[in-house]
Amino acid sequence: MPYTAEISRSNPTSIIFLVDQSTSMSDPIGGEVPQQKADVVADAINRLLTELSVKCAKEEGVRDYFHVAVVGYGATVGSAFAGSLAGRDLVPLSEVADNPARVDERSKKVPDGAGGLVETVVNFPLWMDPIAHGGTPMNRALQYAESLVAGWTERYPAGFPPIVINLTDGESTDGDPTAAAEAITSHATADGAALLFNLHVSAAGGTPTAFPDSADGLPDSYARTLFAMSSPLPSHMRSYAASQGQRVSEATRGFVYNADITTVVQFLDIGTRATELR
Amino acid sequence: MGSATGPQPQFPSGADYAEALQHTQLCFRHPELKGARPELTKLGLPRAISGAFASVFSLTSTSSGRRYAIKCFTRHVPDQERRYEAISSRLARLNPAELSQPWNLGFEYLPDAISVGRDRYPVLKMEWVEAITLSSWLEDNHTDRFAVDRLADRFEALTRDLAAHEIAHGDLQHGNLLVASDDTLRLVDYDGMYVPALAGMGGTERGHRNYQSPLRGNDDFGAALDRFSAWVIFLSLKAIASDPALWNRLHEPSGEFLLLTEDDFKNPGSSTRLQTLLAHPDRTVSGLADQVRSLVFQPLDVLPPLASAVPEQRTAATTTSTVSARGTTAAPGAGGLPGWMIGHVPPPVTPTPTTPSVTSPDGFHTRTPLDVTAAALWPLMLAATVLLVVVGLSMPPIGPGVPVFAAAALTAFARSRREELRQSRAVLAKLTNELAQLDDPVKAAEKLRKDRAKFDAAEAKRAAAYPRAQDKLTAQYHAELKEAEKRKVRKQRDMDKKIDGLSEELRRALAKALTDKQSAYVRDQLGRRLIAQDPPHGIGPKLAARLAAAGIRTAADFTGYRSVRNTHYNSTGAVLVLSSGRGIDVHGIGEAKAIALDAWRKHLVASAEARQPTALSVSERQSIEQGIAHRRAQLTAQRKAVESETDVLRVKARKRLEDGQERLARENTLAGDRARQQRQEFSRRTVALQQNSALHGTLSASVEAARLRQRGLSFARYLRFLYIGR
Repeated sequence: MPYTAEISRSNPTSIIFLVDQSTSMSDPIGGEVPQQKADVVADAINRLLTELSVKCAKEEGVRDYFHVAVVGYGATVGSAFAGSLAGRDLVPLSEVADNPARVDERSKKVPDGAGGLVETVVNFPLWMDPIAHGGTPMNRALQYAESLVAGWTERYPAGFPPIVINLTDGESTDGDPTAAAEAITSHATADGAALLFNLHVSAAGGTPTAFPDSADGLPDSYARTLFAMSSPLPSHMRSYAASQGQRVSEATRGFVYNADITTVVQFLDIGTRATELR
Repeated sequence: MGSATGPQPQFPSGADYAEALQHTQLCFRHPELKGARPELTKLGLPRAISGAFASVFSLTSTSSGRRYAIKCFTRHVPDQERRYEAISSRLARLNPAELSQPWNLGFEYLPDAISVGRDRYPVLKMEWVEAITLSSWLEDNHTDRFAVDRLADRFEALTRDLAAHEIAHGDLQHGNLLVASDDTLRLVDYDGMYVPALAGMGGTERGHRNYQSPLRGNDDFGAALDRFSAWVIFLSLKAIASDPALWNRLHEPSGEFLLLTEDDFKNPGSSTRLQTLLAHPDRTVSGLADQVRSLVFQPLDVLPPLASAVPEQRTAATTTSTVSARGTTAAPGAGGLPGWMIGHVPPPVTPTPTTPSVTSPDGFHTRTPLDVTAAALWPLMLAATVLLVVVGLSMPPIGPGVPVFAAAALTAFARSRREELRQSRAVLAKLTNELAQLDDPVKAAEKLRKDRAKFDAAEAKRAAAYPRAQDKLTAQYHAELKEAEKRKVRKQRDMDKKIDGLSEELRRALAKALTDKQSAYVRDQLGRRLIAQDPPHGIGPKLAARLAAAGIRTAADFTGYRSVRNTHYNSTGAVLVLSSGRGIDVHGIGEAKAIALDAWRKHLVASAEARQPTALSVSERQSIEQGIAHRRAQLTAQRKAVESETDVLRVKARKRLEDGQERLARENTLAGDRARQQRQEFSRRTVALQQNSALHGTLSASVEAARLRQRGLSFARYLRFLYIGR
């Protein structure tokens, strides 16, 4: 059975985020409170990195079950880490956990216990900043990810295969991304082919199409291209998605079209869900 | 494991809790926890220790000053509150004086204790324990054989405590067994604990995979739950106590196990780790390893409790017994070994002493008549010599020395007839012979050492080659899987492309069918318009007849005209273009007539096109769609088939791997048997060498003594004996 390898320190896996940083990412995203798409995506990734760090924290500290890369594509293609990790691609999670670019204080309303709300300040570590400038060189971004995936599968041929998560809001400006996407998923470990998930962030609002199992009902050929590029969800992610209230089938793919804020967070949560961590 | 398929009650994530715990004044209502100080990471966030079900945070109460471990749940566990209550009340009833060590920790389940977002969730409030995990402790202390052995015994005592109260922890492993500063054990994480009050319920977890029987299932839940893991842990601790080098040899840095892993239990035959322990010279280690090997295939409910390995009643005091004492403490009548070990240990060999029994005589005793004669002869012969010299009698054949010579000859003869001399010579010869029979112990020891070194080197080579050969097999297997996976992805992608292309194909086929239908209609309409019946302007019956003769009867018979230059009259003429594309010159049809004909035709075409059908009939459409649907079904079936082909490839690769592993394991077992025999042979040689060496010493001393005594039988001593009698 593919996608069942145990993730351990001696057999870690890698998660590669590809973040669209094109100019259009400064448009507002669909949702209750309008926010820039770039902000929402950066927040979601920063939050996810905190989440992964907590999930992998043990007595002695954060364990390197994962190595994480955050690759931005817009005016340039390359590491989107800010601060001391700037310029790095795959970074062991313990190093990620210890080296955010900075820790912001964010205000947050929480229940005061007496039926009201009270404003508090919480610490929020940040690893990447929102950027929205340039075109959408998705091909180059996918090729960058492919080189990371190729190196990884050589290094850990028996482990859980790398997961590539592409977050974008527009069409590729450097050609059809299909071949570059296929190149990523043609790499495989003994546990299965590398996974590529695509998240399309909406500017238009409307109902998100989350985890579809066929291209029917997708509005245009671009959405169908992204659907075709996306890997089917492995079974443990399917069950997790189902437990989160998603409708899934055997053919469900790791793809969301027209995602709103909630869906972005949920998608990242499902797409990075690990098999057993030991 | 997330096997549920429907929505479950949602719990906050570890990071959600870490965020809420930044304000304990707000998130807690419990008086001790409200405002408690969380331990922070260097980023200033509450530090978590996370597991599959929960994250644990350390909080120090500002009101009581006490430190707690607060477990926050990230996943729904059925009957959680009921379980914790049953466990808590059972543990609270344990009498600390009856426990081998204070291993149990107090805890309290607090429903609705913490507020995260808009909702409240339960937490488990536990005593904070200053202790380190068993794996970290071993990392630091594995060379301290005494301490490790003592810990093994304490672990055994702990399992005895649990068994006595029919409690099972459910997940005994290096992370849940902590070692306090006084080297006693603490047991943490009671989520999966069984207490008798929970009888009849199911388990909540299956335990750490590197500690569980391959036969443990989801539903196993009962007092015997810990037995397999207890044997595994006890074996590991005893083995490290006996041979600390095993820690570095079998344990991998940051490996989530002690000495053995899940694979060793699933495939004990091909497990190098288990083989190493089975072949260990220490009988306690090999015996325990053999026990674990035999438990692997037994159903959980028939596994013996660990206490059966150490049958004598122990108290807390016995946990201070020493390494050397432990290996041999035993049940009476078991030959100094635990009961289960009988049959694993051969009876001790009793050496057979060999000592030389014959001795040589110490000097001459009791004169014989010959001795007396020789003694009497000497004075006579001396007197005769003196006489001869004085008289001056000198005969050529008889010199003055002759009588002395005769006496000496007779004496020598008499000595040679003495029994003592014969005996002494015989003894010396026998001893020398025996000594010669023995190998020189120094040389033999040297040879043994060399043989052993050679053997050890060969064994080390073999031991190193085995995992390499296994790795090679595994690598080959992985490569084959990877290849199969790639092939599948490639093929399916091709199929997908074809399937995706079908909609476009359908669209085109429908469009083409419509176009065909329309042009057929137009052609038909044109074919109905006879030139003769409905002549265009300027075409009379004559011309119509000529045209008919040329094969042009209806508007369908030609498609237009081409202007031609008549060289003859230097004027412009025309040829009509037939539907075949051929031009035909019809007498009387000049350019003007051709234009008229063409205009007539074009008009007809336009009016036909205006009336042509604009859609396909339902049946035409269906027939095309069915064709495409058939193709789609075929392609989908082919795509499915790729999956099963891949499965076949996977199964084949797996089979090759297993066959290879089996062959390797078989070879390894044989080689292991041979090695064991060879080692036994070495041991036999060592014992023989020790005995030999003692015998050699004794014999050498005897030879020396015999030589000394033989010197006591010299000619001079014989002469003395002749007159003195000793």
